[in-house]
Amino acid sequence: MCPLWAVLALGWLPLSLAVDLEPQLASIVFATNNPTLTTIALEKPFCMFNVKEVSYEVNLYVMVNSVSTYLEIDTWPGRRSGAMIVITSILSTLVFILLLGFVAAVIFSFVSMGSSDLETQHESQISQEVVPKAQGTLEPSYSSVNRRQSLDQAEVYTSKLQD
Amino acid sequence: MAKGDSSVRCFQGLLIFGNVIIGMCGIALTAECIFFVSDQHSLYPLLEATDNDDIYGAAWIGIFVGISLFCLSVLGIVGIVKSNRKILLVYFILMFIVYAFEMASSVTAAVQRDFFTTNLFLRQMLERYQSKSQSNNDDIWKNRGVTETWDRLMLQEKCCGVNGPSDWQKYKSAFRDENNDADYPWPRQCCVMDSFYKPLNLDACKLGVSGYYHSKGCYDLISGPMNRHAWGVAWFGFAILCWTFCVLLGTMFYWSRIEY
Repeated sequence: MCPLWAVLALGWLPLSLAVDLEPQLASIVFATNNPTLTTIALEKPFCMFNVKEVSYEVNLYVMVNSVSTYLEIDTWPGRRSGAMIVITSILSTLVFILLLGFVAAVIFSFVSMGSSDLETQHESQISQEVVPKAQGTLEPSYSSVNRRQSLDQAEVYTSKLQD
Repeated sequence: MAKGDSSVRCFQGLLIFGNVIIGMCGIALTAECIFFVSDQHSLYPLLEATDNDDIYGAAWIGIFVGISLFCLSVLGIVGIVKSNRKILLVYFILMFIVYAFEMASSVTAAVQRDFFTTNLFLRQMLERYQSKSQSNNDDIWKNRGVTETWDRLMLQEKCCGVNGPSDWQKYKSAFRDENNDADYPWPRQCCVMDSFYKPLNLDACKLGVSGYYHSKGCYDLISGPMNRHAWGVAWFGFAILCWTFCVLLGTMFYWSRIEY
């Protein structure tokens, strides 16, 4: 842990000054065991005694550095992740294809409705008159399946009536 | 039965199966998004303070989309069984709207996840934790939310700061403005507590004697649930949309072949 004793020493400083400081490790060249020197040793806390003039004054030295304010913290996330690019690009493509498909379906249904209008009416008349045995000849269509089912039922009812 | 009939029946069955899956996925999406919105880890105030809470918006949209998908899948099944063009046209239009919403939700969740860096939460913590600034109600509300969330987080999860306790010393903060550095090198909640929630040894905690303060950072415990939230909404939504795309294309083809 950083020199925590330095934090205690900071308590003696006026509050306004302390907020701008953080404890710091000094360079190794400052580490010295000679108490007569006035350089600062920071690997262990050192008490400095003044041997020239005898006094009971003890000085505790700290090294501090000014801190950065939180406003300088860069919160920009940096480059975009792959997830975002994959999801956005694939979903956009799918939506585009869906819209194309819908437009194509609408156009196709209008075209087939326009061209086979008369044929459809003719076919429905045929299927209602003829007993539905000739499945192969009639072109399978989705609504005629349901009509054929009801025709089968009608046939059963008519046959029962005849009996 | 003619070959044509059986292939039509088969195609109908396939589309009905596709719609059943969409319905079930819709319910699952609703359940998942309700779970995320309920905020089990109570981390929402942190996002609210960063003005970056769009993953919650994405989850709310997910709830709406899930229910809509379920209802629309029922409509689709009815339309396919009856081979009714009008019902299927309504199905398509509503499905497009729901598709667009779900796409927005999925993309939003994926994009917002990128913003959850350590610096984002660090800045919010330093700016708002125990801040007494009273500029407006919004500020007061956010400060209170951040303070309460961090207090609870540091106590419950036994962690300190975003990267560690040194966060409180490397930067200026509202916390340092309010408190004496010597008495409060870091918040009291960073100290190891006894069963009565009092610090085991207050002086040892202040000095940073190991074993008496939490040296672990809280970032993993914040980003973990948030990442799972964002990924869950984004990728599950994406998967549902891929499946729905296939079913919609098939239904469009079926619709175009229905005769009046």
